[in-house]
Amino acid sequence: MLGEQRLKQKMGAEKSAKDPSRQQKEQVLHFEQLHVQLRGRRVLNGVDGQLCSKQLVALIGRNGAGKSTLLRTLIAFYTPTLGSVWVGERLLASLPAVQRARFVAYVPQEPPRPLAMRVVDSLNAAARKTAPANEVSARVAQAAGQTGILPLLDRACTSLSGGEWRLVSIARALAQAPRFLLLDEPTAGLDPMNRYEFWRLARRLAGNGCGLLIATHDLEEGFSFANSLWLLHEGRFLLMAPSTSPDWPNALQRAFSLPLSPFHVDGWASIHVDLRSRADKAPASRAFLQMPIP
Amino acid sequence: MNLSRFQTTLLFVGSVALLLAVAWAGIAMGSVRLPLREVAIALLHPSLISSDQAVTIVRTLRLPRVLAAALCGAGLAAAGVGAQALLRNPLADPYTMGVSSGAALFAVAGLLATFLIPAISLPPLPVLAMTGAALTFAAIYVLVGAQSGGIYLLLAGVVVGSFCSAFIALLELAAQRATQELLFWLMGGFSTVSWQTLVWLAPLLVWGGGWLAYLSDEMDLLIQGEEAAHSAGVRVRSVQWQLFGAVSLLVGAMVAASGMIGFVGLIVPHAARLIVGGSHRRLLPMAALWGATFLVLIDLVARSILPPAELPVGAITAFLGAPFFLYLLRHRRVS
Repeated sequence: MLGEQRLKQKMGAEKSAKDPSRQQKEQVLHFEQLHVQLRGRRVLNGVDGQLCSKQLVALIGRNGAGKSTLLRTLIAFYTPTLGSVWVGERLLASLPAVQRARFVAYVPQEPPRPLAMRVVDSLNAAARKTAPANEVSARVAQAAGQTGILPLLDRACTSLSGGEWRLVSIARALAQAPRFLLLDEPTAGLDPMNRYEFWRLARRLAGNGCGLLIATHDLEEGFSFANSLWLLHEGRFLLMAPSTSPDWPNALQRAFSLPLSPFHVDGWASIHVDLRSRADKAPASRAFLQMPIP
Repeated sequence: MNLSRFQTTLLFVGSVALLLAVAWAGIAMGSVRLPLREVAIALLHPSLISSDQAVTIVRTLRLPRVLAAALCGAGLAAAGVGAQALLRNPLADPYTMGVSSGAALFAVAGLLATFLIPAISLPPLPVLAMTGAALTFAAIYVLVGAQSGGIYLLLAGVVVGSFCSAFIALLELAAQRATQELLFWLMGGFSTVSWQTLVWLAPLLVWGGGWLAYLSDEMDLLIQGEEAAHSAGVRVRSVQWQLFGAVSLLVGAMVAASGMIGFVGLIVPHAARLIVGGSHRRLLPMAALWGATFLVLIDLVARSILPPAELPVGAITAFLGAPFFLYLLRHRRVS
C-alpha cells in the first residue's frame, strides 16, 4: 500500500519537476521501519520518524540505546537490514555520495584530528566536494562565521582545545551547506559557557532553515533548547513529543529506570529526580541516594 | 607552517631549481668528473654521435641513472603520503610496513623461477612486484587493521618484512646466485638501471602519482575519520581501495626498478608536512619533488664515497632513516 502510494507520488513529482512544491518536499528527512544490525546485534528494531527543516530535535536515550547508530544510518554510513531513509521523494541510499552530502551532514563525537593540517584546509576540503570551485572560499568563510571560528582558521587542528575542535568539526559539516545536520553528543566535555553557546548556534541554524538532530545525554539541555525530543529505548522510539508533553515523566521513568520529570521555568528546563513521591516505585534509586559516603 | 600562496609558489619553484641542480651534479660527478660544458653538449646537442667518452657516460650511464633515482624518490615519497593517509598513521611507510619486502620477494621468486625453469612464462617483473606489494599490504591491513593503532601496524610490518627478507635470502642462496644480486634486492640501488627500465618506470610512476594527486581532497577528508569523510561526500570504501591500489602500484614499480630502498617514504613526507602543512594538494607534489631530490643526492653520495666501489643506496637511507624513525616514535604528536 505504502509503496504504491509512494510510487504515485514519485511519478507525480517527476511530471512536475519544476513544481515549487517539490522544493518543499525535499525539506523533510524521513525514515521508515529502520532495522539495523551491528556485528550480529540488533541495534535498531523498526524506528520511524521525520525531521523537517527549521526543526531542532534532541535524541535522547541510555548508553547503547542506538542513538549514534540511528545518526549514522541517517547519513547512509550504515545500511539498514530493513527500512529506508528518504530525502523528500528520493531514497538517500540511491543518491551519489556528493549529492547526499548536500542534504545531510554528520558531526561525529570526537573525530580524529588531521596531522599538521590547518583549520582552513580542513574546511576547504569539505567545501570542495560539494561546492563549485568559485564558491569554496565563500562557503568556508560563512561556515566559520556562523560558528565563530574565524580567528582559528590559520591554527593547526592539533593545537586546538577540545571545545574549539568541536566547533571546527561543526563548521566542517556546515561547509557542505547541508539541509540537515546530525550531531553526536556535541556538548559532551564542554564547559557551561561553551554548551550554552553551542545551543544558541543550533537554534540559530534551525532558524536559518536547517533541520537538526542532536544526540545528547544532557536531558536539561535537550528539554530547554529543542523543539521536540525523541526518546530511544531498546532500539525503538518510546516517545517523540515536544518538551512540554505531559507524557515525559512516565517515558523517562521507563527508559532510565529513574523517576525523572522535567519542569519548565521561564523557558529553561530542569530535571527533577522525584524520589519522594515515587519512593515506593524506585527503591533502588532511593537506596543508592541513602548510601553512606565513606 | 603558515605559508601564503606566494611563498608556497616560491618554495615550489626553488625546489624544482634544487632538483635540477642536484640532477646536474649527479650527471657531472662520480668516478669520472665531467666539466659543465661537456655535460651540456652531451645533453643538449642532438646531432652529436655518441662516440666521445663523455657523451657515452652521460647518455647511457648517468642520465638514465639520475632519472631513475629521481622517479623512484618521487614515487616512494608519494607512496608514503598515500599509505599515511590510508592508514591515518604518520609512521606508515612502504618499507617499515613490509610492503617493499613483499614486492621484492615476489620479484625474486619470479626471477628464480624463470632462471631454473626456462620454459615457464611469467608476467613481467614490475607486475610480479606489484602483486607482491598488494598482497603484503592487504595481509597487513586485514590482519592488523587500520583501527588498532600505529604500534601494532608497525610491529606487523616489521615481522612481515623480516620474514620476506629471510625468504629472499634463502631463495637466492638455494639457487646459488651471486651475493651482489641479493644485496641489490635487500639494500637497493641504481647500478643496474638503463633506458629500458625507464620505459616502464616513468609511465607507472606518472600513473600511480597522478592517481594519488587526483585523490588529494579525498585524502584530506579521510584523515579526519571515515565518518566525517563519508558525511562530506567521500565514497570511503572506494577511495580506500584506490589508495591501496595506487600505493601498491608505486611500490611494486619502485622495487622492481631499484630493489628495497627504505625510509624515503617516511623522512620526506614528514619534512614536507612540517613545511607546507598536511593539505594533500600541497603535500603530495612537494613530497614527490623532495623525494626525487633526496634520492638523486643519496645515489650521488653512494657512488662517490668509496670510488670505484658503490655503496647500496638503501644502506645510506636506512643509516639516515632509522634514527629519524626512532625520533618520530619518541616525539610524534598523534592524538
